[in-house]
Amino acid sequence: MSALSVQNLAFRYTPDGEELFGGLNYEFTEGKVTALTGASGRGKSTLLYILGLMLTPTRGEVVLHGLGQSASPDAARSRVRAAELGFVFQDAALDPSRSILDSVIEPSMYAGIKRATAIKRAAQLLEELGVGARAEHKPGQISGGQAQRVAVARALINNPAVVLADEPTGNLDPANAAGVLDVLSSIAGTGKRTVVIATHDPYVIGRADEVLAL
Amino acid sequence: MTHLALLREALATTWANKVPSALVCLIVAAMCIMTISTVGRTAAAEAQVAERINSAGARELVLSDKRGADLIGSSLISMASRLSVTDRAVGIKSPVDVHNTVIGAGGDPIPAWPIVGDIETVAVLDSGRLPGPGEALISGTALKKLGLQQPIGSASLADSTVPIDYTIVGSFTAREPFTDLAHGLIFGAPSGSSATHLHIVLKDAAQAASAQRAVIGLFGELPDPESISVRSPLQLAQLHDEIVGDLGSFGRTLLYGALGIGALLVGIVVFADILVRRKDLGRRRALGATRANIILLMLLRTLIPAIIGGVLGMGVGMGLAARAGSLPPLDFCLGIVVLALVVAGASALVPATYAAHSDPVKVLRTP
Repeated sequence: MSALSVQNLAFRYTPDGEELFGGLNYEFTEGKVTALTGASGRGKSTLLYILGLMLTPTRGEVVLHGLGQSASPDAARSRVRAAELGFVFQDAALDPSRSILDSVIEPSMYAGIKRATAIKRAAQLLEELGVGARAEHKPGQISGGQAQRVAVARALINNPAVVLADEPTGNLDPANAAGVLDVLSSIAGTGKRTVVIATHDPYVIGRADEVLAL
Repeated sequence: MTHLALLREALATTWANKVPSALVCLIVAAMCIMTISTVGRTAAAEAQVAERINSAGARELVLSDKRGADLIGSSLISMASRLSVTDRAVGIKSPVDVHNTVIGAGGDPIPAWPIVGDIETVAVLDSGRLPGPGEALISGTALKKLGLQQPIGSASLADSTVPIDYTIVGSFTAREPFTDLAHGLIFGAPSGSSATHLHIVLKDAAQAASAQRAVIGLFGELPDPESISVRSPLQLAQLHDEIVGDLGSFGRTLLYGALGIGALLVGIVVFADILVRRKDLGRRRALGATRANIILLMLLRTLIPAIIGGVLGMGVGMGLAARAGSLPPLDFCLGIVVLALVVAGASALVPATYAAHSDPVKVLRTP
């Protein structure tokens, strides 16, 4: 069974607005990187945020581990988001006032994981992603590629089943973009995770295992 | 999210965002300083007025037997002293003039008051012992007037054809409100004699009206209602209520004004902070923070600098009030700090709720 799927999914931003996805049914494959692609305005990021339980579909359901999540109360969806989903944003979205280590352990705080346990795992993840030496730095003191690796570490801190990435290489040069994609492919393959990337970049689409065109 | 993690996160973000934290701290401090140094002084003034108006002198009810009809006997004085509103009661007869027996009629006369009832109701014994029949106590002032070095000697009635002497057996200090007695001697009136004035010190000036009715009731049916005159603290009690009411009303207006302005300013600062940091709050929601987490985080972020401001404000406010000579009570100051914290928390609640219910997707997708 797929960890993540959508059933009969549709979404409208306003009641009389254009309907997106038109009753989409799709199963995301575990251990693979799926690229969400399509022309501008087709709802790549919107679908990503629906999968992340931050938007509620107008119709249909997001199914995680066999359970429909879209109709759950906001607090329950937040808890699922903290425990089961990892997010990587386009601009890394690290707190500029906190250290890299503090940024990485932030989701574990919302999941109720002990700080000491989270710090240990964060240090290990940062090492694995090649930014271990930057743990005590502030986001302003590291490069864009390093920031995005930190964002990936943050997404993995609670060992989620699903990692959702919104244009994760959008602000990176080709070398750094390739590095981040290597990391995302690696975490999908080795961790049996479902990785979904919203992108319009042909290079990223080319690197994905599967492509969902909207 | 555990309570400890929430508190740690609130402390960290309070420290990281120094400008809004400092502003909240300053606003709450200013609220407390202004309130304690103005409303607190008003409260202190109110307490002082109440204290003065409620002093023993202001609680004195005096009934006088105008025609000398022996209306104020020892049994009536005893009954008056047992009334629930009575602190103490005593009968005093009109004073007589006495002079130093050794010097004789050539000496300066001083007044001597016959007391019907317990002498300790009107005086505190400084030296010697309480007087028995034919004995008296002398005040420090009277001692000098009679030319005595020690409260030892005797005094004679000035205008009596029959020599009546009172042996001085001690000295006294007059108790409030019987300060007139400090000018002379006091001695126990002969057994069975009546007083010309009944002095009742009430427990509370506010009970003047009921006390007056009760005491007059002790006289029963008077053949001539004009034979008794009454000097009552009734008007004083009414004045007390009016002054305390006016001061209280003024203080409340000031308090509400200060708290209202403070609440508005805290609300504006928190709201502006939320607008500036909307991406930060959106990120937290995306990473799994619940709406309740966001609200509690914003509340704590407001309350932490508010507590610091409240403590500082209380210190400065009390210092200013002390310099002005009207230090409000500590519980009043603590109450103001608690009120300021409640107001700051309540002001932060609206913007915090707004932040928690903002669409995180819209926030995250806004550059």
